[in-house]
Amino acid sequence: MWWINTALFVAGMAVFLDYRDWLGWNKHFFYKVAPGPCKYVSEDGGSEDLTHVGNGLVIMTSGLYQGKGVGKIKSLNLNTSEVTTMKIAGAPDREGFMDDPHGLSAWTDDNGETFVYVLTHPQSRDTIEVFKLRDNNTLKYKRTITDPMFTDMNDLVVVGKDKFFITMFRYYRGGYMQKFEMLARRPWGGVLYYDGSKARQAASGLFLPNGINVSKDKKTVFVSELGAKTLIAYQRSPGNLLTKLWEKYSDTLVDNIEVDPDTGDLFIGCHPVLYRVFSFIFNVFDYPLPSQVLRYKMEDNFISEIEEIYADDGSELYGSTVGTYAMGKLVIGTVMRQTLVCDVNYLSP
Amino acid sequence: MYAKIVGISLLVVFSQHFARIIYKAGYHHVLYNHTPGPCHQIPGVDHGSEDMETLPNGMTFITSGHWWSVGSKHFHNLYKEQNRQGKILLFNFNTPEKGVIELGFEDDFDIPEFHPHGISVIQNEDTGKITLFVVNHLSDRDQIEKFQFNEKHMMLEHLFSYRDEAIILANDVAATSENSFYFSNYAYSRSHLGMLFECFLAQFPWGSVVYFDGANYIEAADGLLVPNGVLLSPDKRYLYVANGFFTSLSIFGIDDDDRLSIIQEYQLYSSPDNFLIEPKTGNLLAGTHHVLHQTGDHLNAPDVYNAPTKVLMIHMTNTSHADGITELYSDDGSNISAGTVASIYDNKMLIGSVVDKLMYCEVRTLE
Repeated sequence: MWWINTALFVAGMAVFLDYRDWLGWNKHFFYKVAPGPCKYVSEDGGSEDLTHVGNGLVIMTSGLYQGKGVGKIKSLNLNTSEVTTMKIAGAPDREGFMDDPHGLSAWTDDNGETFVYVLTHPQSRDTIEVFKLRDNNTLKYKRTITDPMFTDMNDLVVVGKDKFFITMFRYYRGGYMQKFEMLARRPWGGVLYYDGSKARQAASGLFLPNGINVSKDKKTVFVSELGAKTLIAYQRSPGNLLTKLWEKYSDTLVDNIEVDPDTGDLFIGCHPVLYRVFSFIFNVFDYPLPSQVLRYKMEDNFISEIEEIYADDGSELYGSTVGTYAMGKLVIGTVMRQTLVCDVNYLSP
Repeated sequence: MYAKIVGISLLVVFSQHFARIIYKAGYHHVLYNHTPGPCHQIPGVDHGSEDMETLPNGMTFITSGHWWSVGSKHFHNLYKEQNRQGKILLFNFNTPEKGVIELGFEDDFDIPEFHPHGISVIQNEDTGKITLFVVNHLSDRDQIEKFQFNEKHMMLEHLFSYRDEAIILANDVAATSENSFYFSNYAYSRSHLGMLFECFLAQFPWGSVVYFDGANYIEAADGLLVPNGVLLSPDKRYLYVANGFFTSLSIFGIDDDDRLSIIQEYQLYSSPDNFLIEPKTGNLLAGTHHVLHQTGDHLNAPDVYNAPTKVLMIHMTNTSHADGITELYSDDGSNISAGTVASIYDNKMLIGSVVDKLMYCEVRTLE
């Protein structure tokens, strides 16, 4: 019965090679790609998520995974390249407030007031802090939102007052089950919808869903399924139900998504090599984390072309998570280290 | 019992050999596009622009109409059907709007077949005379042609055909003077299936680099697997060789006896075709084939398949050391397929391809 052994051997080889490819074990080198000259606007603290709120003001979260009590929100003025820590007026005197700030989403109401919703990871449970943008340097604390369904969340996109879609990165918040969930590629993550008072499930069966954002016409919700290296587009019904439209395998760990308000193009910060991200998460070895920003050109909410607009082997930029295009510049944030601004000398139509 | 051990060992050896071939073919690669500025195709070039060289005054000589005996039957038939012809084109970076001119040959040009491949252009510092060396593939042999450029009449005067059994299956040529040159022998087999077996299945290292010193042919480096482009360094002390199969840049030092000694093998992770020097920085520009199975399909049937094109700029810390790669251009084949070479002059770039188009781009990202 030699053929049973051979079949098992071939099947075993196939699984092994597939896991090895998924880890990116054969990706050793990264060509440098830049749209023009680049410079640091900040060299530490990181900027895991950022977004352009208008007039050259870019708001970013900083201090993720760097300890308790160091989380902050910073603002970058694209006109002057200055980065300042934003003051939070009326901040509650609560332990764990602003610990490990992660994804953020900016939303403007009908009166033209801009609100910034920030996901934080205090010890007890993942919480959303809601702020009103008062001026370029100040945020006014409004309220805190949390829900028993929030386990290990990552990013959110606000679609109405206190109404948002939020990605559940991992079902388990820690321990061996969380490690197993990642290494065994279990699709136990998903997307929740918070309707203003409680959360419900909007999409399930996703493996490490990370960044989330909404199209220019607000009808399509994009989710980066980081573990599967895939970008997914959902149709958003008026009742805020999600139906999958299409998905695009991108061969890179897609992280946060920014949507260009003029063209609707998606700018996505990426991690090209999985084993290095795992090595970073599990704190083994000390590989530099390469960086990459992809631009997905959209036509009628379908992808027409994927362009690589920035790439680095980790020596210039360590672990990019997000990229946004504003005022002719590309702003790229990282998990824990630098924030880079590149002049975009040419953006193809 | 022993038969089982031998059998299983052979099975393991062959399995890993075939697994490596599948990875080498690049089925797992995913491509993104990227341009350094606005690009457009130069009209009138549809049958390839495999190699080129640019003089300091912006004049660029390009070979077109590539054909060789190791091409597939489909490609050979297509060549006849589409009436493709071997040509040498002239482009001037200072007048890009004029496009390319096909250079005519003086009346005494009477070789039976002309299918140009690699090219090397050398200009005499004192007289200004421009000499071209061009690899020519005939059906039953390869030879190297020498031309002189007559600028007044925009014509090429054929001076000499170099024929020798040392010229096996040539690919590119690098002139060291008006009478001496290096050239690469790509493989040994002259048939399509033979070349595929020799180079990709069995991977016999039967390629070489040979030097003609004006009188004799000398084997300068051998044991190479599919050496592609060859380029002399600006100070004439080193030879850059494109290592097609091992996807690397081989930097060889030229010894006193004109033989080559390896100085650095720099991995490019993409199969390089031809190299050119970027004049402002001295960096090397390479056209590379990133997904080899697509390149193979495209070369067999360019009327059916596209193949990706990448242009890499290899940072040279000095003329003998490479460190760092910037990608300048990447296309999945919808704009230009199987790109082979790139020349930059004053922030403008020309990209050539084996049997496809000629692309002209502004380079804005290096400022």
